[in-house]
Amino acid sequence: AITLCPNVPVYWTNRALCHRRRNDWLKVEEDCRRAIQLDYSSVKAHYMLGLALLQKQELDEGVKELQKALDLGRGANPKGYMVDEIWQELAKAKYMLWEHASSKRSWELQSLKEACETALREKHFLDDSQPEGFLDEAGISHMKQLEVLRQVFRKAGEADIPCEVPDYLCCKITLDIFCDPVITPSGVTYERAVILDHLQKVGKFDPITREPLDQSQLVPNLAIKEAVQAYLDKHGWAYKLD
Amino acid sequence: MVDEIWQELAKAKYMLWEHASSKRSWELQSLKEACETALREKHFLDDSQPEGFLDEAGISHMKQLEVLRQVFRKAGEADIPCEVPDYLCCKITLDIFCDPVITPSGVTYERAVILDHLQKVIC
Repeated sequence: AITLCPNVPVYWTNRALCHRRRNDWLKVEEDCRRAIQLDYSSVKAHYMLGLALLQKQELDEGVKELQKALDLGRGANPKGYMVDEIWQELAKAKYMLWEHASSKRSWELQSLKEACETALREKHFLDDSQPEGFLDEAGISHMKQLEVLRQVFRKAGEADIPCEVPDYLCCKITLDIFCDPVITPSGVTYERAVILDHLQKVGKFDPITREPLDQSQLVPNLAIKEAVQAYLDKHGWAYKLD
Repeated sequence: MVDEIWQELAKAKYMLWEHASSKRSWELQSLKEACETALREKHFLDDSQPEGFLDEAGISHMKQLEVLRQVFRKAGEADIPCEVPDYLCCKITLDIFCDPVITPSGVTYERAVILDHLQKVIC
């Protein structure tokens, strides 16, 4: 097909899919780039190009392509199966980016913390010589220094320590961080797919307040969506999906 | 009544913060200076090189001070006033929300302000 009609982008992405199945990532990249030249808004082309770049360990570029694919996919068909798959891959890649950056940061912090503790101890030893057992004002202050130092370094590395994602960023049913939050008339926010499932399979009412609820009453909670993105930007470990 | 109580409560909470944060800032500043001094003295004692020659330990020392500055900036970040994130502010007033309400389009506004808008701009 490509030989007969080389300007049809779909033929290139179809072939790229074949290369992907065979794990021939160089060819995936080649064919996707051709497809993008012909059609810049091809979701599949950007998606598979992103995956190919990740295979080459080009994490930053790969993530950019996946993000592009996600944005295009959401614009075209927000509830399509593709969007879910792209999001999964993007989350995995973002988690890897974070893991890499944060171990570097942690190591740097740990080294500096130890260097400061050593330097402060040595200085204290040189500056103040008191008979053993006698804790003078400078001694108390030195202990306090080390305590505050520990707090400072803990605070500086806080964002990289996995902890519980705040409640208000999580679905009350799944307890996972939101992907696509929607709010009901009672003011409760749920994950869209989960509340739609509930309305279909369990009943037409708000799971928490039990007020009557229809699918048409669900409103996208854009503010929470923005808050979730801001949280993920700061706490990359939260990209890890169970 | 609720508005007035909120105003007074906000003022009082601000004063609480102001008091606690100046204490924290002073503590941080003292410790930062103590660390910088201790690291410099240690570097001077440990590595004596002829002036003008920046060796590996010298570069690492400069980097140490740079990372130290970043660490202390990060540790004191929460006490430095900056812009409240957009998603916590009303799109009309640009102030942080007190009583946010959401419209069917998914946009969140300050209740009093959107009610006012709806009354005055009725098509």
